[in-house]
Amino acid sequence: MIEGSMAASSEVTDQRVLHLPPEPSSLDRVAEVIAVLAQEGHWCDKDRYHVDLVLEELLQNIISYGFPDGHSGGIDLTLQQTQSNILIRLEDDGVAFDPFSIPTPDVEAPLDERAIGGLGIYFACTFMDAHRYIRVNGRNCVELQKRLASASADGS
Amino acid sequence: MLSISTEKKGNALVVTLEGRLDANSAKELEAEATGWIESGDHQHVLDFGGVNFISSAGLRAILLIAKRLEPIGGKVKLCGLNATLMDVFEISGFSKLFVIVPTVAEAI
Repeated sequence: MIEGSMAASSEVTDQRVLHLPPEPSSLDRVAEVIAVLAQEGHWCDKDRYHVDLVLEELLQNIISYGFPDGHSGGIDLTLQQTQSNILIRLEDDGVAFDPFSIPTPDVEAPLDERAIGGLGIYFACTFMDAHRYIRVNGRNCVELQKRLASASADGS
Repeated sequence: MLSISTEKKGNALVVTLEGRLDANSAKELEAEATGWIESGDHQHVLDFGGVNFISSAGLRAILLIAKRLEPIGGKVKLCGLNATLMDVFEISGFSKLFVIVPTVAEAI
């Protein structure tokens, strides 16, 4: 990735497409879908956690800041599994925002100087193998790739 | 979903957490902690043995509790973190901000 963005349909072994309202309940729904995909795809615990975590962080940002009063629209999430990767596309109608443009947090700061902003995006950059933001047809679009540990173990 | 239960052990308030500490449940934990602090419990031991997920919102809740306890001589200690959760604490630098021990007994 990420040149061709999502995988060719012949490579996809499992896929979920969700249309979500920008509301807190969407976090639970996505977590449930990831749990099912992870089980069916035999993801290891770490891979499952990392996909779960990064999606929660990105969705929470969109829900909290993307839709101020009067701003309408929704969120579209596509999750694809291939032989060796999880590919994720998250599109939303929220206020234009590139999450990867924010500064990296100071993870060495002591307790009294510690701020939490940016940590979620930092997790996305750390736990995914590739990430990018693009603006498509007036929507925010984030694409992520996670290489499955089981694929590395197979040497594929 | 997160379940939160507490038990007083000596001077410490042992808080047993089970489930997901995400953006939704972090607010519940913050609200509960406000109650504990107001009732005079200032030594918190958070037992993560039953927690399988924490996000930055969950980390933020713990940070806020610690920041409120520090000026009144209180402290938050963490225990029972599995390897995956520990990764998140290390990558975020949170492992350096808190006392993290394997078991509740070692935290008291």
